[in-house]
Amino acid sequence: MKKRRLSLVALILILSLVMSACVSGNNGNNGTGSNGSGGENSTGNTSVGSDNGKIVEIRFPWWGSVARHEKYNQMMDMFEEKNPGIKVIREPGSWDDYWSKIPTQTAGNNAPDVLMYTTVGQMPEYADKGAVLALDDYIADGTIDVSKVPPNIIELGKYKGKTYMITKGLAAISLTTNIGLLKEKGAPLPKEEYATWDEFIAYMKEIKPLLGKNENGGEIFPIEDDAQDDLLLESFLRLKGKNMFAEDGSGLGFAKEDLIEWFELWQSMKNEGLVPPAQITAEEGALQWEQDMLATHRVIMSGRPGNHLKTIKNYMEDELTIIRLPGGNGTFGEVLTGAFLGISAQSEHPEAVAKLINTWLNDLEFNQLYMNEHGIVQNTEILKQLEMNPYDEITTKNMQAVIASTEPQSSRLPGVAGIFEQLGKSYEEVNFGVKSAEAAVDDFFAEAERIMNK
Amino acid sequence: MAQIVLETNMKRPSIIKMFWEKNKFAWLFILPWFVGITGLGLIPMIASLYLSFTDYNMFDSPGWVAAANYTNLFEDTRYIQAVKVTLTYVAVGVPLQLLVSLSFAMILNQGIRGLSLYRAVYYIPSLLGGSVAIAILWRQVFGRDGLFNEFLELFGIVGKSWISDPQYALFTLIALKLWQFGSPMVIFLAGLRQIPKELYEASAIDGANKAQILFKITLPLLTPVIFFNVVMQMIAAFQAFTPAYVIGGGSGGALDSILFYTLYLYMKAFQHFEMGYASAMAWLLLLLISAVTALLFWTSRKWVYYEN
Repeated sequence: MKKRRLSLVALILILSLVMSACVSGNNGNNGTGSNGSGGENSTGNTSVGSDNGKIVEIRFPWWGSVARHEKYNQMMDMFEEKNPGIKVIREPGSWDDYWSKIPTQTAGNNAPDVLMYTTVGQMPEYADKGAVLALDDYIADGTIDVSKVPPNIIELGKYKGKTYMITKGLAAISLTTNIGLLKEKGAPLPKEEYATWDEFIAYMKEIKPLLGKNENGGEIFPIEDDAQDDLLLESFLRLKGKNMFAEDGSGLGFAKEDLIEWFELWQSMKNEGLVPPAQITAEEGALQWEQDMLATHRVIMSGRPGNHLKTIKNYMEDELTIIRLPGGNGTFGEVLTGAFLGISAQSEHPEAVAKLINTWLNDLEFNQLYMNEHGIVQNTEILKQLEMNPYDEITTKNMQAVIASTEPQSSRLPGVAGIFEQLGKSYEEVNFGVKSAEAAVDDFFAEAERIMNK
Repeated sequence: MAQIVLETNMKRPSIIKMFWEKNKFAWLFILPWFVGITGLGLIPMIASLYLSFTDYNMFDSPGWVAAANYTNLFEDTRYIQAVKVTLTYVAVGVPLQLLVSLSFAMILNQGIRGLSLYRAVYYIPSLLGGSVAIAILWRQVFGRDGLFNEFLELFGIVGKSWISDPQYALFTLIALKLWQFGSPMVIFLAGLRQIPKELYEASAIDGANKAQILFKITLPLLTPVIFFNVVMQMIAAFQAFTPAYVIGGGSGGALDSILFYTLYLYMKAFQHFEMGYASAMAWLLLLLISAVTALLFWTSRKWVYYEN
């Protein structure tokens, strides 16, 4: 009998272990709750950061490479040192993991405290659903000091009149150019900016016959096929005074003709041999950076955010620079891209997150660790004091030229993921010759309308 | 036990209590499994059935849309493409894979030396096949500068990028499936071992040739095992996800040529947040698999031979 009871106790112990292992994934928040449950009524929130207050935990997931994880770990250590009452639970992962984890956790009422967004347009999705906090109160009471950041940069984090996110680093969409390879082939170098696409295409026609083949025996093309890139498309639309989405949020901000023109622009470049054929784009266009068309000398130019430059230099020996996207007779339209920080509406400690955002914006020491990892910082004072990597200087120069000559882009609408996926699919059908540009654009508009009317 | 019986005689407790007294340890032992199957299986399934009739998007509370998700599916060209791709994969991949695994099982069943070594070697791909690493490797092998094209070059054939060519991409995935013939092969081997030796001896005495032995003895007696493998591999093929996800770069490949059913389902659920729609897809897949399985069972009466 005694033996039996013992085994029952053992069984229950094992079971409870199993059960707790099952739910431990959700324990992040509960742990802190139960820790301080004794003094719950004493509005512990206001004492964030003070030594005698209880420790407040905030969860911060981010995406990136191993090098970034290490850097962010150091930064969070420094933040904890400067704010003894706050502990940052770090949840590093990949870009894909991040974007499948956040919606699931948000739906499960288990969202992390710190949210990261980009200008690609994920934030409105969350703002519309009340999943992200407006920062205006924190900005008004000085918890987040934005006085050193240009107002048009703050604009980028606004949606329907409220500020939901603040950038921790920006760059402009631009053309990363392998001038080392151009020199090697004896081809003329590009200008820093071209007034029109025609002028730019004329330059590419000039260099194409000189490029020949790369080390792998593959034909070298002046530029990769970036027709499916929404940031480039948006920059192109802005040259025509249009936007990706209508200002009032009612739908797309451009007409079918605009998209047909864009598709045909790239198709004509492809037919001239300036852009790789569909097969090569399909195979090599979606590879990891280290194996992509720029890295393997398949192309000279690649449209991407300017802050990639420093990272690309880690694995490419060639001399690189960035040039601006072609303009439209004196106007330019490049959009700014970058990473932003926001606060989850489910956070129990929004003040602690606000402190983190403020540190990121205004603390020089913190930014000396950060070193423009995820884009060029926008605090003008700090930018002056930071010792810059020479490639970051190129990126900064390009970005500042863009900021000086363009308006900040308007915010995007919910549903962009599905819309831009359709953009890629529709262009692919044109590129492989399965559909005419007109028919593919019709598909795109139909799908975009379906998504936005949901 | 005796004690319990005695007690019940005296107090006559309710049947439920008696049942509990008698089986409580059994219940405790299956509790972990029971919690798992209800918490991670049954409840989510019921929830997804309900959600398939709503416009749930993971943020707002689900709104009832009746059967709209199901009717919309049949107007969705990408969904139809996904069904086509998956059916092709199943219809071509499964028979070919079984043919290859049966051939290898027969070769290994010749009583050659070092059988267990060969068996292990051929089984390894089955263990690795579903992994991300292999999918990445496959991408390289069938890429433009990959191993496969170098092999073709030996014969003077100039290859192309098989992975990104919409005409051939699916076949590289079928090739990957063929390569994982190990697990059905092991089952075939066990089946071959069970065929009584007397039958072979008797037929040899009667002067049957090899083809006759194969078609009159081996295959008929192996039909239960073939049936088992067909059903299992068919279900697995319908649910294939990793190879298409990794090789297609997460988006279904060029012109959606490798847009598997489960991949499109995943994209709808976790990239477009159309959870209700994705749930409807999941239930249709379940129906589709059930229907094909039922069909197989129905035909099995005609071609599966059970000895007793």
